[in-house]
Amino acid sequence: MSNIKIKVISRNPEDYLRATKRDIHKLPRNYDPSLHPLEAPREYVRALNAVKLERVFAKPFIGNLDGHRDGVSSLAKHPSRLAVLASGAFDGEIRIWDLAVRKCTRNFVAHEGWVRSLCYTPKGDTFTSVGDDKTIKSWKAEVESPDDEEPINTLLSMSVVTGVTHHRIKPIFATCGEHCQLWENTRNEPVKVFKWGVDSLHHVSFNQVEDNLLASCASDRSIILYDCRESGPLRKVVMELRPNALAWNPMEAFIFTVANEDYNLYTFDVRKLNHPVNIHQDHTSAVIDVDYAPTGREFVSGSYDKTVRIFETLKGHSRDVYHTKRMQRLTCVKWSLDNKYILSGLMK
Amino acid sequence: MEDIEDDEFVASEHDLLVSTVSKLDKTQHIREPTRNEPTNRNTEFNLFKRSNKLDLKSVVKVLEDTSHHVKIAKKILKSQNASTVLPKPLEKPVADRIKRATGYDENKKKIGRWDPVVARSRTVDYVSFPLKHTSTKLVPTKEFLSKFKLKSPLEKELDEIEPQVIEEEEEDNQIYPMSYEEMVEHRQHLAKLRAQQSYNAAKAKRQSKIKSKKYHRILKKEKLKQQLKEFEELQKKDPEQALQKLEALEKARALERHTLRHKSTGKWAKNKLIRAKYDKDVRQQIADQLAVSRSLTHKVQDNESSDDEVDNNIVIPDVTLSQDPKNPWMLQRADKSNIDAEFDFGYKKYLNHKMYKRQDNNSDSESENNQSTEMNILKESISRITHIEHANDEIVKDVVKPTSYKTLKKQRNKLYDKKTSLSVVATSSWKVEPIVQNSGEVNINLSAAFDSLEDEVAVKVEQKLKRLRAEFENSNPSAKKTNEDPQKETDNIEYLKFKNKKTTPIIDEALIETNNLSTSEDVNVLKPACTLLEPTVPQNTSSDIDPTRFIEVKPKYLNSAIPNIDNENDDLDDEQVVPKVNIEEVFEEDDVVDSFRQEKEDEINKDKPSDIDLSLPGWGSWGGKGVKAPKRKRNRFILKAPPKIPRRDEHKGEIIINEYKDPKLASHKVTNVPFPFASVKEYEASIRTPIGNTFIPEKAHKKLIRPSIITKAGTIIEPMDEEELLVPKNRNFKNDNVIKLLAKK
Repeated sequence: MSNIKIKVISRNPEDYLRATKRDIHKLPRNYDPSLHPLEAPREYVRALNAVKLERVFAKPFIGNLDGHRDGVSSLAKHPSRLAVLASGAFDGEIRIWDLAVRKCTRNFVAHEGWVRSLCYTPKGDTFTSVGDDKTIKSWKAEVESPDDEEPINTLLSMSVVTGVTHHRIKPIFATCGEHCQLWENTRNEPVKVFKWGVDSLHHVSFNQVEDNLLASCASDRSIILYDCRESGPLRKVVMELRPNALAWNPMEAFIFTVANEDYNLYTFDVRKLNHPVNIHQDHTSAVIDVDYAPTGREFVSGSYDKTVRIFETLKGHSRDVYHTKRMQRLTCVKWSLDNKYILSGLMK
Repeated sequence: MEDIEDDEFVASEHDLLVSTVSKLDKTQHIREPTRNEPTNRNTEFNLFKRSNKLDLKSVVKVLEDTSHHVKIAKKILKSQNASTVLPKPLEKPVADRIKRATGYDENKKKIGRWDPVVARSRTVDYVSFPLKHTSTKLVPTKEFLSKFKLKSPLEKELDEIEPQVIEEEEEDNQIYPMSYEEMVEHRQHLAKLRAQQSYNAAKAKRQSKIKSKKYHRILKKEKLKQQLKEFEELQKKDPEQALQKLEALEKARALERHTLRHKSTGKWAKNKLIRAKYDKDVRQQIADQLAVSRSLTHKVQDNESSDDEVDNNIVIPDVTLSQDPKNPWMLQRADKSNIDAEFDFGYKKYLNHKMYKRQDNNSDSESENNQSTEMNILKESISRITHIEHANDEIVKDVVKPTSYKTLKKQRNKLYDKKTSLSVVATSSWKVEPIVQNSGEVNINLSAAFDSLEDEVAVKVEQKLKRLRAEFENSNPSAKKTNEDPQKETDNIEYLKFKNKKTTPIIDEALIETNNLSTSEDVNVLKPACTLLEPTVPQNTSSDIDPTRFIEVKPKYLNSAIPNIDNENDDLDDEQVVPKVNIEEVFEEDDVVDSFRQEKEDEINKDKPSDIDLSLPGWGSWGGKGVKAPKRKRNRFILKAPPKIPRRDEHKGEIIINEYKDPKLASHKVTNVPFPFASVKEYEASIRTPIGNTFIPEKAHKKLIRPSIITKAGTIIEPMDEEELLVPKNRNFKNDNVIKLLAKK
């Protein structure tokens, strides 16, 4: 027997065998840049294709929630459950939706005239609604017995209430109308009344981070800042045209954005109210509502021009615009708390 | 039972008696309301004055028996007197304003603590939401298991009988929202706030009470000074912002100009005007007011006049306007002497009116006036002219030509013409104050001045000519002259800086224009004239430019690693080393070559200038289809395109050289280095790094394409919590630059 030497290629199996079945297949690659002379053009083409395909496959419209007999006037997100949404309509009806199955779980007429505003309590077990009939009603979020259908508490206000917002921690909420009023759940009269000027207010919003601050939009084209503790009203900013809505940045305590009648949105720093930090342009009609993404990097705005736009906080122009054929004028927009979906309410 | 009834009866009787007795007293008292409802608002209608108050004096009266009692009485009275009256509180709006201001400042300070957190989250590479992370550390098995207990059946039974109550204790602890320390702190905070408020209120009150005009004047001045100082600082620090501020100021000024403030039409001014008839001080006030308005409405800079000055540098004195006694707007200063002129009422007005009328009638007196003013103007202008002529002399000295003298004469004639034209301007005015002057003397002076000047110039020219001739004979002309030139040139420049605009016509010879830098001899000979000319040209242009109206542009040089395009073009001039491959063979199917040629042709055609037809068909002649425009029209109205300049790539074969920058390209270029990068090199390197997993290892690829925001599907992102302030990475973030940038925004 002669010893014949056969030469074989021998490789370390670690280089080509994957450790488990779930791993991706190992591909030996040579990353030497001299072997890839066309690296830059290839990357360019890839990037271009990626951008194009993203646009081609972008189908932002997921579905509509059918059921309201009149236009939707207000929306409220559940603070701890992603699938729950409450919506109020111009005919005074409130509907609770299950977003996962896109079905209405509960509907009832809450007010005479339209439902001006809705908000959940931070725990999420009740929600408050205000309507044209000068009442502030609290409802149970979950119906377990037939008694739960009735409001838990009905507060009578002296004047029309147009907005409601809840403190993040304390059991107090603020309403606006003729004046900004602070209510406690257990009392029938407002704990505090903040008066400044004679004009009525149409939107109010609590700061979520620095939770004693709240801001409201007045019909004399001004934004008023309040401290809900001792100080009361702090400062007023008068704009050229009327501010419609206001949203606080949930990640940056001193930043808030105002949706304005002059087609723009203005981002302000609480400490420097003389000039807006940023002006966001692109809408072609009055901006009706604005809501921040929970990450605080972006916000969504709904306008009278029937479009929804997404803006980055630090940029002046919108990143995206959503519009479909059947869309009507926007009344409210919300950004879901998992930073994934946008909800909008329309007129009919 | 009876007793009670009796008591009630007696009580009611007593009440009746008291009320009837009290009715004897004429004053009406507001009684204490019998029913009270708890409200959080107290109206002033619920307040009442207690009438049955104990009167101390009557009590003291009783104590007059002994000396000891008298002492006590005195003490009691003294204590009553010592009570100080509380100051009246500030008015509600003022107090509210102060409250708001202090509250806002407080909140501003407090909210500033979020700065580092926000700055960090904005600058960091990526943030993963939700921010609160539950620790994923694995608990040791023993610890984990120790939580569970196995209960024996007996224990279970016992539990059933007596369920353990542990939770309640915890609840008891949680009932109080604040601990004692917190409460104390809260109270202290409140007290501090209130103290601040009251301090501010007191200050405001004190300041509002000061009536002293001087104080307010000083205050105003201080404010102005402060603003000026701030502005200057801003100018140093941030010129761009300073410019913006200046613009804002300008706008404010324009707005004020637009309004009717500081004019004599307001209510205040009208009232004052009525009083002004009798009161000199009031007149002064109105004059001040008008002065303010004048200073506001005065144009900042007269650009049109500067244009005029280029043509003839003699400023026309504003005789008619500045000395018009009737025009309150044209007063130089709000002097007391002018005030009377400003306000002429009744008989004064009438008299003035009459005076003017008489002036109109008497042509003689008018002409006299005119002459005198004429003389005045002439005097002024003479001094200016002599100045100019001195400058001209210098030119004559330098330019050695016989013709120059003639031109000088012409020039003087021109100047003389101007003078006469000036006098015409003066004669057209009729509101001239008489100025007493001897006209004859001036005339003599004038002629004498001209004669002497002429003589002087003639002598000087002759001298100069002689000297130069001598020099010319002595030395080689061209060599010496060139040596002398630089010094003369500098002299010229110095003089030419003055108003000298008529130097160009002096030289009749044509300039030789060459592109070459090498100077031939004849050019050298001509040089003195050229040097003379050169400095004047930029001066003329510079006089047109308003020195305040240009933007300072800083040239930006990016230290780029990319080679310059210009150099590339230069390289192309050299012979190119192209491998000998038949391109047509390689791309047989695609007609690359042809398409390239087409492209090049397009490129050439694009740059080609074409004729511009300005003629209007049918204008002055028949138009329409088939009608040709006359030749004269064609010649006149069709602008011929300039001759074609040869392209750089004309004979270079298959290349296209773009000779001009494409302006559309500029918008795609990066003008400055984006934020996190410090240098251009870094930025370019970051752009060039490949990110695909074909070119770099998987891990690096994953890291590079990581999004700046990472969210988890189906998890709610809570708003930021105050605990985030205590997170060490946020607390340690001390990038002052970033925070400052944020604060600036």
